[in-house]
Amino acid sequence: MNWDDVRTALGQRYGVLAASSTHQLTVIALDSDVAIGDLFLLPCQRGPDRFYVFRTTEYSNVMNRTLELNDVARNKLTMPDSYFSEDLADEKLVELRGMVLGYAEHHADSDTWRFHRPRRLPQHLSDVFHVDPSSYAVGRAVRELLETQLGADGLFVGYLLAGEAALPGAPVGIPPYALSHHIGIFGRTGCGKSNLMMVLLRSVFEQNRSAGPGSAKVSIFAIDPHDEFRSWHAATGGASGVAGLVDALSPEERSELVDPFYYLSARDIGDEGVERRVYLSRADLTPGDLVSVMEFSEQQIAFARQFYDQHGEQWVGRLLAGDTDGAGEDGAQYLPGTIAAVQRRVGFLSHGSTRIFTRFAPDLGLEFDYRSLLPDILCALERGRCLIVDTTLMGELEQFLLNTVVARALFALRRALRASATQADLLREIRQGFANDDDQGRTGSRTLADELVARVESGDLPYMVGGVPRPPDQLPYVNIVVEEAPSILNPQRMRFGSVFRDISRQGRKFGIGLTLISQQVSEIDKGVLTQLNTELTLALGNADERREAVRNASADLGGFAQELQVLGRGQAILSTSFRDVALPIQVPNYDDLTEGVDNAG
Amino acid sequence: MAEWDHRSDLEAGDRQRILERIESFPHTTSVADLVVAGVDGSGDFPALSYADSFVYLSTAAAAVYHSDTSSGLREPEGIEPLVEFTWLPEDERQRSANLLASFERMAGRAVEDVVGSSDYLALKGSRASSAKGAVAGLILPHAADAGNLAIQLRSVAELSAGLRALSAVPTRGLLLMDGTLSLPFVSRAVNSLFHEHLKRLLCVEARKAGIGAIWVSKSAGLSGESVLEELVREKLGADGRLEHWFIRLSPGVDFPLLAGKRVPPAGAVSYLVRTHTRVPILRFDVDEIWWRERILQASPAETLIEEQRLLGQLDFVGHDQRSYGYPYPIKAAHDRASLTKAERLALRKQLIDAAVLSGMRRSLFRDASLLTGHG
Repeated sequence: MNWDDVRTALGQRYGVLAASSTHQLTVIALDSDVAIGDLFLLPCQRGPDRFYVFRTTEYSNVMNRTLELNDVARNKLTMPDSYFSEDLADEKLVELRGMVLGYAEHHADSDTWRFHRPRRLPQHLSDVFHVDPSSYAVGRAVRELLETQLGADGLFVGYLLAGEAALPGAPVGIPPYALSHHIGIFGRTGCGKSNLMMVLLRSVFEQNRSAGPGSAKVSIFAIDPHDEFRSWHAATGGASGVAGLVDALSPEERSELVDPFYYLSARDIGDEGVERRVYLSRADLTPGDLVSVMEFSEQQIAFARQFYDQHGEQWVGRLLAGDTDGAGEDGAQYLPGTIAAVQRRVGFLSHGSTRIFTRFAPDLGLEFDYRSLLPDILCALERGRCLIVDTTLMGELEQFLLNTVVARALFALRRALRASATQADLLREIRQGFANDDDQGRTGSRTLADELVARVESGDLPYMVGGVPRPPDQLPYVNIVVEEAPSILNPQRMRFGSVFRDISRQGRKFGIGLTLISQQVSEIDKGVLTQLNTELTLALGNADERREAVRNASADLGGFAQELQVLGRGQAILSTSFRDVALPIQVPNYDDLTEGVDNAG
Repeated sequence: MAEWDHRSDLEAGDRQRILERIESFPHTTSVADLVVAGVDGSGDFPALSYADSFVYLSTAAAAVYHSDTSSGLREPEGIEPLVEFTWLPEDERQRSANLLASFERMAGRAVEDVVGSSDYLALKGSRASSAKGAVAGLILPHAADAGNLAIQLRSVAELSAGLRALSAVPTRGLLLMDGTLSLPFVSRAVNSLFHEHLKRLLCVEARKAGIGAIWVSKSAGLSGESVLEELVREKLGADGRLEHWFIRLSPGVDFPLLAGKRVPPAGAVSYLVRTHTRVPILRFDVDEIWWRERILQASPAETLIEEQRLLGQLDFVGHDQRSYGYPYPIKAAHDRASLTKAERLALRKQLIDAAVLSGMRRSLFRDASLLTGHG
């Protein structure tokens, strides 16, 4: 569409630009049903053909000539016989104030529009056109103008929001690689976070389904605290969740996109099909994992690390068994109270107290052998899978620990891969990444390392290509979802280090991103917040949280501060460092989306 | 000023005479089949100056409303506003010709026709010269005499807009003009102002059409308004009515609080009217002949009924929430005719830009007020 085409599509003029500065625009418009957040386009031919995109952040009713509206209201109230004459001239007007999101400039050679940040202003007294969500032609015009900002070919998250209604012709997406960076999803209870996650999971599924041989897949490890992502509303007659997407696949697609599993739960659901009981071994744990999820003193951490160095993968079992007589033989001595405190802290891992961590003491018989789904989970994530983890039967610490171990192990594998030039390098680096160096007498997580090395050699971990280690950027983008993020990402918990702090700082180098889901922005460690590249901010609970959301956003949310107060269910502000401007979006109802019903309105 | 204010104290006889003339009219919340037009004018005097020439801008607008059960007043169709640019150089012949030509364009009639058709010369009585003599005796100020030109041009614009609005008002309708029916030069033998002739022509044309032309002034010019309020309270206060009252000022009957002032003006009947306590005492001037034809009845009581009906209509058209107590059609016309400072500046800039494109020198466009620090 060229300038004239867009101008024609916009229809009747809505208002005229009045005062304008780079900070704020004022538009005088005819009396109409306007809403905060409504979008307007201002055609301008001062310089190259441009359309400015204006978004209203506040408005007021004004009179054309009557200066004191208060006097009129007073008269209406106190003079019961008064009236308001019906004039031909437009006496009742509205004055809109807001900001320029930016402008789209037409490039005649390619007949395309390129969007720019708002470094310029529209010309004096520019005509202003309302973006009418009910008009398909207007939606199409907006889509063309904002094409470089909408990211419609990425992972779909919603439709561009114009006031209270979405523009069905203007889908908004985030690039797949955004999941290898860090994402924040913030919103109070009931604002639509779960529905947003469902839409995102569906988009990941579709991305992997359409990804060709050379294009990157996306993996997501999605914690599901309410066990809703698998079945969604199928039990009540609504749409099925990821299970529905899986059921719709052909056997070949299922082999390529789902096998060996997509759903993990602490419930006994057997090992058949693509839904599994999840369990990890005590042998998979390191002191760092525990420090990441619960409170430890400095002394306790030092003891735990020394004990792990001594006993490697059996350190938890020996601690729980009280086998601490040799503690301190090769190093510092610890007070009995310190040792007892660490024992208490790992107590939730004792047999019978946990549904997901299995015992590990191979010397005591087959029953105590290594039993863990962790290697399979890691293989799945490295092959482009969408894994849902039902945590309803897990304790809070178990859930956080599962998350931590998976993230830490994947992070270690990717680091090893990046550090390797040959297969031998890779296998050695993997062992070192899991603290297993038999030549140096370090046991570390030997069994887990053995399993992972075996999977590299078998090809289940697709790290070798043509006899050499595969560059990490040829692997799927992996995203680990952290639910109730403040519980483990608060500054107090992260005082002595956290695997999530490491991933937040370095994860994107290895293609691993975090998605932090929280009702509160303010409780999350600032160091982690500054590493977020994409935020989806839904309705927040109070002014403090809104302020923090604005402060930490990856794109300027200054003009959205007021709108954050009035966001409805499923409405969000998408800010990302991959785009020039923040965008308001309406996340569609997942049920409608899967039924092919356009819920954009 | 305090001493002057005390001069308004009245003698007992005067108080009694005023008390007797105070009458009330009903608070009127609905009127059927009323059509009322309001007229007001504005302009920029001058809009710009160039060397020894001046350009004056005159604007006037009329708004016609029909009484309406749902919205009070409803404007069914618009009337084009009047806009006139008058170029006046200092050269006397050119200036006079241009000013008269401007008058004619606004009035839509030749100057001689206006003078000949108006009854203004009749009001001058024996002092009057012929129509031709009257045209020759018209006062045409110098091009730089912005004050007097502003009065003349704005008045001619308003009255011309009023003449045009007559066609949109049916018989028994009302035409409301901003200002008074004063005729400043009516007692002079030779000189007169063109808009005096036009004002009376409007009365003539309104009479012919059966329309009541009423001039509304927000300034009654009373020397003792507080005294009058006391008297109103004394007469009507017992009923709690300190508004909706009026005093008729008939020709030849003195009114103590307007001593020395020509109220009513020649050829007019005036009313002092309080429609509402939030607005000042208004002065309504009507054409005396029309008053005798339409308002004056066989008995004082019947005349009072007609006056109350007329003032009730004027009360009703003042119930718009935007100008409560003041006739809304005039306020609407004012809003449309008036120019804001920004509009004047923008227009001046556009005119100068266009003139420069035509070869005129930008440096000769000047604003004397600004140059001398009077802006």
